[in-house]
Amino acid sequence: MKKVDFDVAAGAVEALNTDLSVAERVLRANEDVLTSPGVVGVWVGARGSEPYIMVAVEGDKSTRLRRTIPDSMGGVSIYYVEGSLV
Amino acid sequence: MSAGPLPSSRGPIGVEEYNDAWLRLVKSGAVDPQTGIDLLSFPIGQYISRQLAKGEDSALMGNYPGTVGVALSLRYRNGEIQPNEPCITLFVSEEAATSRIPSEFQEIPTNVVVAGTPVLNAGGPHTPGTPVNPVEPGCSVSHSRVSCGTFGCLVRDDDNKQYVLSCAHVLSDSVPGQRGDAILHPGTQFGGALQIAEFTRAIPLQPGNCIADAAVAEVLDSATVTSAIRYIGTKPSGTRVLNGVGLVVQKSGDETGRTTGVVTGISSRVGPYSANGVNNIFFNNAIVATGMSAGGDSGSILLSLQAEAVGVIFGGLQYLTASGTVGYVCTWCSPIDVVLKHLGVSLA
Repeated sequence: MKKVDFDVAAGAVEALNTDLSVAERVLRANEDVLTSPGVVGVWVGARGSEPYIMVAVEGDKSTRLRRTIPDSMGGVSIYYVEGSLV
Repeated sequence: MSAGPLPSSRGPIGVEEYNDAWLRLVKSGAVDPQTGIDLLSFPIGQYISRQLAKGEDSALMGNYPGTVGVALSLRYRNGEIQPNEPCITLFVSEEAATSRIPSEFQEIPTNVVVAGTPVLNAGGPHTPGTPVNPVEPGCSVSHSRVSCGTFGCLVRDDDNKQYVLSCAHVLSDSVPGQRGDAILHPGTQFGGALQIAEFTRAIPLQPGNCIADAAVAEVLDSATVTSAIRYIGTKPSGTRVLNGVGLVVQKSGDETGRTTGVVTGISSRVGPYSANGVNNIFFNNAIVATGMSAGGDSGSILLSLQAEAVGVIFGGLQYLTASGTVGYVCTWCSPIDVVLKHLGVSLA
């Protein structure tokens, strides 16, 4: 998985009519990997016409999780953000 | 700059007059609320943007004391905002500061708006926990043993009974919750002076997968509450089920008042949360928006700009900035259609 390096909100606004179903299928098929310990959220989004999967990771867990979660699955890019649940 | 100088703007503009003109522009349909107006699509807009980026904004503020803001914006002329006329807008603290500001700057028309002293949103007119009468959605509520949350909106059942809609972790402190428990306004953190409702039912929280974080509490006296959401000015106009991202949204919450954001994700799974004595709670099919809420906003209704209810805010993801302050990466919401269906209610 790659660290987010773009404006997520701007990408979403440009994705108003983007079909997210492919990313949703990939997420469901790989939910065990995408919800490994240390992951506190996972969802599908889009940057313009490109659907992606976003993983929210507890702050100090990204180094380990980057070794187990690939940069893409089924042709869908996987990005991550760091933070803590509130 | 390809266009010649435009006619000069005349005189300072009052901030209320200015804001009203913007509202009229939006209501006229000349602006798509999803996309806004791209000022950089105008050659003059590009020119102004370049000038401001080169430091002319600082120069303007330095040259004209009392100027508290400079922006590339749309021109106010003949009592209306002109959707095709970019200009430089200067915001000044008081009318006396306007006298030396020219009506043009480098042949670019200027507007001068008397806007008062700038304040950060957190220090603005919104104060968390303020008691209001009657109690509006967007205000503070909580169960008697919970610190605080937000009254999302009014809903009703088939018998026409009215309920406060909020989060289960705001309106109860246990599973399944004790029917009849007092729901207070403002929340207990702010004194909990007035009981406005009785806890009725919640979507169950349990270890593992959960549908949503939502509950209802029956209103004791309909005269004590209103349906119009604070700072929004209207009740939800209906519901909107999301199948994609990019919708511009707003909310009114007790902690941060009215804020806006963008839906950036759907089909989200988030957790583990602990609430109401239950650990390892995971919420499925949550909606993700940009960070637009904080603790105390739980229960707020996520609305489109047309006031369609989209979801119920229950949490978020926060981080510490380099300066040590808390920032919010995103806000999570339960889908409104799921909430209403499983609680057996509809929007009031």
